Amino acid sequence: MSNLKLIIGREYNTRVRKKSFLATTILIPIVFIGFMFGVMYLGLEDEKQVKVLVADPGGWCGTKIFQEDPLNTPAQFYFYENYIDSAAQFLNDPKFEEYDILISLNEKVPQNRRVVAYYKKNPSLKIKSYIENRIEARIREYFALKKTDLTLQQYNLIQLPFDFKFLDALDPEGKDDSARRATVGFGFAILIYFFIFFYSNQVMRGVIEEKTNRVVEIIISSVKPFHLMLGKITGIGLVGLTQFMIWVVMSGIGLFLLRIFVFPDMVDPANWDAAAMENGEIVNQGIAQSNDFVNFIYFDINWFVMISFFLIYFIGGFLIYSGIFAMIGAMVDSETDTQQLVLPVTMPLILAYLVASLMLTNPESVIGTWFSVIPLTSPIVMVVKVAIGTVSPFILIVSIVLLILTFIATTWMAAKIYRTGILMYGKKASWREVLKWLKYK
Amino acid sequence: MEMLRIENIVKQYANHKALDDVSLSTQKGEIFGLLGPNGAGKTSLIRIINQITAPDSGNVLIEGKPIQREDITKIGYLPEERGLYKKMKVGEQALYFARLKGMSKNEAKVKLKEWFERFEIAAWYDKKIEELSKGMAQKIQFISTVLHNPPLLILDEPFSGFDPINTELVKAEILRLKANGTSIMLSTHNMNSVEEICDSIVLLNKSKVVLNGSLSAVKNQFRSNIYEVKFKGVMMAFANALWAGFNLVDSTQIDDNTAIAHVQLKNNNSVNDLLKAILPAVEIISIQEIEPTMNDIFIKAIQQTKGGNHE
Repeated sequence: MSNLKLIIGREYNTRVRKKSFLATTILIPIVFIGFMFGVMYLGLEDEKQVKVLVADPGGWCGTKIFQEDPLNTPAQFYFYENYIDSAAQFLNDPKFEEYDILISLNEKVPQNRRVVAYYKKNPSLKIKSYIENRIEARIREYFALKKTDLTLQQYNLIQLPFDFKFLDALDPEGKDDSARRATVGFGFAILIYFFIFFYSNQVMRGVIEEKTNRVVEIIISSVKPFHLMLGKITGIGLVGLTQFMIWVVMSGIGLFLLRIFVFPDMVDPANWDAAAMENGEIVNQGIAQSNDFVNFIYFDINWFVMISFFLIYFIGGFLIYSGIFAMIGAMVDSETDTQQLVLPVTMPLILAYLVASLMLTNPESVIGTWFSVIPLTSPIVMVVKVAIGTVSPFILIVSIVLLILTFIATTWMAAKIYRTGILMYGKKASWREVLKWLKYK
Repeated sequence: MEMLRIENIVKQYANHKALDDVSLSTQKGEIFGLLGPNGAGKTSLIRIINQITAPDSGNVLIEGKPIQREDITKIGYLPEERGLYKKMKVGEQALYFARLKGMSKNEAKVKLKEWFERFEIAAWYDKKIEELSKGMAQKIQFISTVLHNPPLLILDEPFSGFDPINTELVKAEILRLKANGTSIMLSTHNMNSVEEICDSIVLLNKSKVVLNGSLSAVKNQFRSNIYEVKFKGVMMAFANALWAGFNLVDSTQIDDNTAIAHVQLKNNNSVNDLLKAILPAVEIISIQEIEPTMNDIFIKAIQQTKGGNHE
């Protein structure tokens, strides 16, 4: 027992003390957050306001939408009472020089419902959808007033969007956020995928290192090979958990700081109401959505449950895969020999990753349920199911029991093969030989 | 007193029998040579004694009792295939090995200091293994093997990788440990060192014991009764003086009047008989028995068993 502790201690300390461990542990989240921030920042970048000339001989838009607009909208609209019949005219006529975009509303628009906008420089998607929404809304209004007896207020009342929600009949009070939950679960799934891959590989490389260094025989003259393998797996697993815990603490602090410095004005209703008045309904919805998402991140995800299940399934999955990887390490004589042996073992992991991503669009997929029970894939798929919250206790228990049984089985097999393999110097074993090793005393 | 007894060990691998009914025993405080050609089963036997693998049948007794898991602390093992963690520091690593053998941290530190001073390598303590030469690493391994002061040392090719000076240093340490009562099992292909330091030997060939006993008994067994005679006189006269009981193996003329001849005794004739026969013919300068070297014995014993075995 004390020897096992010594081995775990050595495996843990030599890795945690490495500079590369510190670097990856601290830098990966920082780089990741920096990347996210960069993407967000690029999205927020102020664009030059475009000038849109609306050629509207029919007077459908009237002058209505143009004069009310404040100065900081993505586009500024200008009215032109005549028809402009070609893009060439728009480009060449000096009087249109100052305009970026031309929208021609000819007499056919009501029939073929086709509006053409010519740009001189391709505007961003945001500007495009802003223009489209404003023009379309105005034309609808105009025709509602022209062709029906409705007043503008009545028409706008009809036009109000519906808040459509898909709720669980068993939990009518709940929220329709399974897609977002699945996304969070998928984030955890990727983390487990990465952790299992990375740290199982570390186990394999550790075994190969001991084998090629020829240090292994000295050690197993003092400790049982099984203890050496177990100590290595445990020590490296603890390194992974340490890294994860550091990330949890860092994320916690990060979320806390974000809430204090970035989100308070978004959470404050007074702020986004004002913003809504300024920017119009569509942008308003966007803000409401991001506000909702912030709420979701801070209040709706049960982080405790997610982290608990992450730990259960990371540990379970890691123990299974690292045992197999340790076995492969013992079978080969150098790292270059591992590739063809590792490939079949990583197939279930990759498959599990694919199924997990499938569940983003189909949260209750049957394949997902199966894969959340099969032990080689459950560590990745089950966290998505847990995040969505659709997993039945029965399935959960079966999944965990199978995980534990598989761990016992793979460890037993890995230990037998490992024990013989680590002393086979200078050759790569064939599967047939390896099967015979299982029978050695 | 008996240190180690091996009783009828059999170890079968998938395609071959590594050990076939092997029995031997070693005494406390002796240096025991475990010899044999490559693939004879030496490493398999050593691994069984170290409980790295288990025999299919047979027993290992240590100090008269069947070997237990705890007995690993009584053994210091220097494998033939040996190495160290390249990234670990010298002192850290030696300490780690010592603690795996059950020593406390403080005890190991004190002992380590002693040994490092004796080998004059105290300055290496904080160096990484990858900074050391092969010979240096070998010294660290030797120290790691003996640090916990085990009553039984198993050394597999302990001199490989050492220059002649360090070989002598290690040899002296082995003899010093022996003088302190440590039993040593030495597996080596270096027959000179077997001759120099072993008290008894076992020779394995093709999974079986083919030779077993004290060094002198084994040598006796392989005596060829050949004597080297250096004399002054005429070679012809010498040859003529030998009668039917002696066989002239070869002869070398050193100068006009001096020669060396190898003579084999036959028919229970003694050296005295030989002297009597040649005294009248030549002037004897010296006469001595040609002892078989371990090298000769090794080759001879292996060749003798070749015929009797399958394959």
